[in-house]
Amino acid sequence: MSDPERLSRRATGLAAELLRAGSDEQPDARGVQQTLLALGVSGVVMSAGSAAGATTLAKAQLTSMVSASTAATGVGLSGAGSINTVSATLIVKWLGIGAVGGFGLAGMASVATQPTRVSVSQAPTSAARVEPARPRPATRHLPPPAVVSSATAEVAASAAPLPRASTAEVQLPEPPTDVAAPLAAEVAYVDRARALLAAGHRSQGLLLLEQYEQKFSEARFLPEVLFLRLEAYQRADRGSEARSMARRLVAAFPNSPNVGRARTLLAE
Amino acid sequence: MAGLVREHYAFVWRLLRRLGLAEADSDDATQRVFLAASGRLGTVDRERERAFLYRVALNVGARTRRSLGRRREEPFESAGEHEARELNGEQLLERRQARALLDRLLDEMPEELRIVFVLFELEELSTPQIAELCEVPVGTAASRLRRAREDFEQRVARAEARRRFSGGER
Repeated sequence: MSDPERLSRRATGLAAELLRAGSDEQPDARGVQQTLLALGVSGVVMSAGSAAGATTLAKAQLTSMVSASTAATGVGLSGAGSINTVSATLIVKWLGIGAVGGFGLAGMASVATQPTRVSVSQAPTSAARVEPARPRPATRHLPPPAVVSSATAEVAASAAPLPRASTAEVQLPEPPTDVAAPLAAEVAYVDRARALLAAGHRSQGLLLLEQYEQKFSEARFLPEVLFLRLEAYQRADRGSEARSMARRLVAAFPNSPNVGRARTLLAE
Repeated sequence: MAGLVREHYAFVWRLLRRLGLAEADSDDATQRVFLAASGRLGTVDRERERAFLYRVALNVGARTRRSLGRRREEPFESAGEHEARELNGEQLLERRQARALLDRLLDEMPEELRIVFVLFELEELSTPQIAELCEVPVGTAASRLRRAREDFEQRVARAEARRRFSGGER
């Protein structure tokens, strides 16, 4: 039994307008973080201090923010392993509430620090390390279009399903060293999300992409982020959200190089 | 659990919205869905998680609606991030009004038709997927969908007529 054609594809006028308004609606990305906090998921991650229970995003944010706190305030933390659960939870809560500035602070704090390494707990078995796909941006003068288009091309080229590594360590790119380089921060952020997606950690990568617009008011890589989200949703069999991204891409960035694929998706 | 939240949060949230909850209520209710589900998800097969969450969401949504009474229509709720960025003021208002009208039309539909309609037309699930979520035979889901689409199109036609003849009522 085949499904009938969806009304959203053939309807015109008011019906099309209503269906588009309904399917395009997205929750606030902060809701996910708040729900995770309510479930205590993030707190568990941080109190572990060891690789065993660590989860990607929360730990990535924690690590970044601990570095940020240390550098910015001079408060010495004796290392991730020494963070107790209470303070860790407080930091996560702070992160959840003020996450918008988190990665910016991380960028400031990471001067001359080690690369951030995240242990991914959703990964079940074998240890695999995902290196950054390309050198991380070093200065604010990095030409953004070239960087992001190469990132997009890499994702687009990987037609095969994303690998589902069991236990993987994702070597995240270092945050930008130029503290006055929001552009580099954006590049690093998108790169981090792309690395997570490429490593098969779709939900974590998607979460970063979904929060991108909140974190970066200028959102200079929005076309690329929309396209990455479109692809990730497609692979996750989340057709409605993929089409929503395609509609946004076509409407807001009709000259984007990726708009052809978005149009194809909409025409299907 | 974290992966599950990230993967299904938007689906649960939109489902609750289209089942009649306001944005803020949907935020709270979605959190309650995952809190309620967290205790039992360990006993649910991976491929049944979405169906399980769906049923929890239906229960939480129904309880929330009962406790809050009829939902307020809120065409001026705060705009989402991307909408605020990409739409101008007039477009934002139109989008909000369209959403409010959609919710009003869905509110008027029989519950069993409304759910099937939302899952098929807005969440773009297939009929077999809907049948599984609703725990009905595929033929029943298809039949409900056919009736739901007819019902919705009639309601839209009436709304369009009202708008045309009564000075833009939406």
